[in-house]
Amino acid sequence: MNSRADPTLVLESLSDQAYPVTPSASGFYKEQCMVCFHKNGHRSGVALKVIHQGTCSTFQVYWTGDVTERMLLSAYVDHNKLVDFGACAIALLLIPKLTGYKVIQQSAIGTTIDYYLAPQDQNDDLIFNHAARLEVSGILKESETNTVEARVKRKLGRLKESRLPAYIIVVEFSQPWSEMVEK
Amino acid sequence: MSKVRELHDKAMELAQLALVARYSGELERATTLARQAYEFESQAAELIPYGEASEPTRSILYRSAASLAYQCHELGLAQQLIAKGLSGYPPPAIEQELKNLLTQISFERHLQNQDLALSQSDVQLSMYGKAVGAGIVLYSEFTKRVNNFFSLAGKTVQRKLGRDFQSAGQVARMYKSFVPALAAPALGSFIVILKLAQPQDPRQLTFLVDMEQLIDEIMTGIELVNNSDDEGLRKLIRDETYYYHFVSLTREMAPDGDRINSVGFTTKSRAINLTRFYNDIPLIAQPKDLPNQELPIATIAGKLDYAIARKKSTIGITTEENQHYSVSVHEGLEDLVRSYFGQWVEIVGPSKGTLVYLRDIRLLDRDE
Repeated sequence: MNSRADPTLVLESLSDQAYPVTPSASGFYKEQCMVCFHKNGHRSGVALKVIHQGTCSTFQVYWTGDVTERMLLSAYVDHNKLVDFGACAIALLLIPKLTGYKVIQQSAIGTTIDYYLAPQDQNDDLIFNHAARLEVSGILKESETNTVEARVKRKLGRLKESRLPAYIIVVEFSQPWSEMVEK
Repeated sequence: MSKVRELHDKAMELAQLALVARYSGELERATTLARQAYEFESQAAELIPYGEASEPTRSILYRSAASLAYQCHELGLAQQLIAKGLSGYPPPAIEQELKNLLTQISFERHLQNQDLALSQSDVQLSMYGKAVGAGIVLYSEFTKRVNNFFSLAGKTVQRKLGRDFQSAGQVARMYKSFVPALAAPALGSFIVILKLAQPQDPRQLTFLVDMEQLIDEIMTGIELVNNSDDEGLRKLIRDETYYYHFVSLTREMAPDGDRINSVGFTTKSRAINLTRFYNDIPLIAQPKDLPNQELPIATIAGKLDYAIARKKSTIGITTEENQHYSVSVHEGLEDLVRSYFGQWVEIVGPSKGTLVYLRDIRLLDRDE
């Protein structure tokens, strides 16, 4: 972590920090993230350990408001995807703190959205030509068969043939901790 | 701002709204938003000149436009956009994603096919992935799913008739309400029809359950597992043993994301695409007879072996170093474990000495 980087992640600041994630999408990611922390008994201000380039940093994650019944019910729709969306909130807030990337590019993939990191706000048409790929995954609670390490390994395997540089961020919500790997 | 960026940004704004709408249960709105997003994104993609220098932007935009077309159920348009993306110079990773999307779309087109002559006791099983070719499939990937489906159907009959879970022994004739049968695979993919045929013996008709209802209940259960709706599944299958049996066998039928990407089940009235990966479906949270103490988690690789079985719910595993372990199996998981007998597996669970309480089991070598 940059020693001057603010060690707080405020979920409400997502749409300001991660342009062009819209307020509606950032609100959605924030809610999923809150549910993931709530299901593990955590509250606003929870400490999140982040391992990146062999160093461990700690961030405090803050949000306002409580988890409602509606949020909990929505988490039943597609549990796996929703944990990934919760992880997206954390990843999109971590990126500007831990890397030089400030601009996010998006594209649709299947029924979801994937993210790319642009080095600067390019003005030409080839918007993805100098971008790094961002791969995010979430785990509600690690188990012997579902670990952060295994997820990182799986993502690295999938990116083996990718020529683009890539960042992989896996967030675990029970401890909670996150690993960020650059490819 | 460039025209491409302007169109793409509008598309992504709408795509984000579509995503939120979909997960908020507003499916019609999600489709409308995805359609609007698709129109902007496909225009953006068309503006990028064909050529190596345009990559990966060109193929990423076509993949994105195709994904949005897929979201608004324009499967034909999505296929055309994928073809355009593939016709350029996509980098290998994007090329693979375009092909995966194409496979997914072809699969859904099969599921949407309304010309199927399925009867009320038929289920069409379709598989897509690396292990599947045109009319050919790896034997083990096929038999595993067929056997598990019929096993699920058999246990569902017993549960619907109020019988206690029977983990071993001959099933009484009165509970055999169907005869498993297969119809010949269709050309061009690997699709077969699983038939729960009516028994010839009229004495068995006394306890016959409604086949349409039975299949519908199995489909509902598979859908609940696919959606990670554990609470819903527990409501559907209140008996714990039957519940574990259902989860364990649905998990066995699930795609592994490598050899098999999708497994489809189609009946006369509905279609389910089982896309949740095998690895993402937990087998069991709390092993049976677990002592009330903190136990270390052991991972044992070895061959499952009948010979050292001590009691009905305990089986044996022998490692390469000829070390013997006993494995305590939760009721309901016997069919799953039985399917691995004589094979090399990895067993995970809390352990005490040479006793392991089964929490997970995986086949080690699937190459056959």
